[in-house]
Amino acid sequence: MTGFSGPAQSWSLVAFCSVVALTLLLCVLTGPEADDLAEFYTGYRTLSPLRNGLAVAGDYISAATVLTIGGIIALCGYDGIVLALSALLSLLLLMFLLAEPLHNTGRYTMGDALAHRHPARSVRVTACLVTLAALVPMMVVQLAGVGELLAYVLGFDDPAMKEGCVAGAGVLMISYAALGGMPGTALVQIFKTVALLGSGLVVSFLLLRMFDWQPQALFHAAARHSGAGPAYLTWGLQYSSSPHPALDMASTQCAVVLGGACLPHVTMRMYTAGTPRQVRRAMSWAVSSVTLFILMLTLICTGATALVGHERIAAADAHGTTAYLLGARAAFGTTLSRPESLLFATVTTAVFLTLLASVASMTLACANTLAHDLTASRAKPLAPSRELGLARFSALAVGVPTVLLAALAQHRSLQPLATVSFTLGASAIAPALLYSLFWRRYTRKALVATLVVGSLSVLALTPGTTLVSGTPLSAFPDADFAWFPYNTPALASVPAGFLAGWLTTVLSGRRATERERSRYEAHEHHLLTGTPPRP
Amino acid sequence: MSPDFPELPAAQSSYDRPLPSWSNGQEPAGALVPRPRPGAHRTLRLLRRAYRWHRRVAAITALGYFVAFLTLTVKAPALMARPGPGGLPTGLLLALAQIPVTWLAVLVHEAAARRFVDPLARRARRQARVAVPDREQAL
Repeated sequence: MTGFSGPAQSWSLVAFCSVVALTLLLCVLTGPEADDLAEFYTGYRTLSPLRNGLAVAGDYISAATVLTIGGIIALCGYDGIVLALSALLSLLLLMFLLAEPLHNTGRYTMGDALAHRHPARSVRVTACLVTLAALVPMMVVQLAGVGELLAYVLGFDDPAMKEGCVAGAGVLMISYAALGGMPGTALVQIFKTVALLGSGLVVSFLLLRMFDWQPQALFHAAARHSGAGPAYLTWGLQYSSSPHPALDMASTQCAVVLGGACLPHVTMRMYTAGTPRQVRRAMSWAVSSVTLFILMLTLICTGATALVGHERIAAADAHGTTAYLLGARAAFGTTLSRPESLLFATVTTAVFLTLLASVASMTLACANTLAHDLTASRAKPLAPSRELGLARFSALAVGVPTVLLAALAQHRSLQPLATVSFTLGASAIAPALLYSLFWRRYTRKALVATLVVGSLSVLALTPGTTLVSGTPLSAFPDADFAWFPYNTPALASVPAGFLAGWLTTVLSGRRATERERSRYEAHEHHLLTGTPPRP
Repeated sequence: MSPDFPELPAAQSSYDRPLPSWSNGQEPAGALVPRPRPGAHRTLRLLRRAYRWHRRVAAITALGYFVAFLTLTVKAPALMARPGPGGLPTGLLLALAQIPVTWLAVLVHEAAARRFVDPLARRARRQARVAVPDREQAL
């Protein structure tokens, strides 16, 4: 059913198994001691900038990026490329704006960074809930993707087998997170980034050689085989069925640019660097490698359309999620020699590892916030060994329901869930971080209001969007209860989040804001220079 | 002593001047009292300003380019569809140009941070280290 021949499948199976065994072993070997909290949460901040940067890039290139954006590039051309660029811009803005202040104020989690100015239980609990709400949908998307990917690459079609794959991947990700902690998942992420970039470079090289080193020939061939002609290379194919294409595009870009890099599993890597300067260095590496990856993603997925054609990509999956693999397979030509099978197996393995590693990091981010933010504001803090045990148990407690949800949801379109994650990042987390790091008068009530209003507006509006119902590509194609005629709720929820914070601060009166201003000044030296707090 | 006195740079004057100024009495006290400690506040202010400019210029440039690009895409589709070099539409070329520009932006950002921000941050950290033991001894 897949068009992937026998040797490619068996090589892929062997590669999957060895990668799983190897990464699990590495995770256990690098895992922290039984009572070493700082090592579990940050790995002692000893990672070198290059390795830290590769880990950030690994966290940032989730399966949603590779498969979803890749599919949009293959099916819609220009719109997909713009989407990939906005994902890149998001990481660049994280580097320019937030990376150093976040590193200076945060210790282990996003709750730490927010509670640095406003040490209150309400802030930490809200931060924990928002983290969970933003990451659990993303984890469901990635886990469900594992089932589909394995079924596709290994060529089986049995739903029970798919559910088994999801459960197996779930067990793996929980063990990565619980056993390896931050150093273990960082290692898996570095491994994955190197595999993804290396295999992508080989495939791009082959593709460009096929088109005589002329990228424009590649794009013209893609336009010819896309079924849309020149429209493939200009704006609007993705939003052609929408009543407000321009607004739809603006709100999607806004959600990705603001939300993509603010998600807690990416920002948590800011705390693992040693000094502000190392954070900057690490982010330089991360942005550079993500840029390289975006370039290769564009080439490979456009190549998929040029070589395989629109019909077969859309037939394999309506959203084109397999385009990256199809493009890579087509780059090797019609028949595979043994070294080519092996090379192709590295591509499928890199994608498989991408799915596993990004789920593991998200599980770790959820476990950290559950264990740390919910206990940090107690009058008597937990003993380190108990908190570590709690963090490991939280990984299990988050992981098991996620696996169940993923097994249930894997036959539906999961784009709404990914959109919820990004939009939550853009409408709750981004305003909260920006205001609390840079706005002197921002009050505690305003912080909680930003987080609550931003998240609730996303959760309330999403069921009404056209991604959930009303179009053939929705999650519920048969029903039509869409009342918010846009792709994402970002158009309303992002302004709602920012406005809630601003209004609450302005309305809380002069005395409260003056108090906040003097408190900010007391923290400012720490915020700017990053001198570590003396215990 | 008096003929070469005006040519001395201000920083060195305090080393060279003590002998004659004892007789005058007032002048050295006036020169020393306004700056009893190294200017921790001043450094922090400079650092704040440096960081702010650094952040604003970088973020506004990156966002501005992207917003301008999106606006052109939506508002001037004819311009963006016009074939550029290589026969590809201008819009696609502008989009792909962002990839090398990002690499360049990262390099420029790091060089600027090392030139304008890091020295101030280092000075502020050093001054904080000097100030903290003082306070502890006083307590």
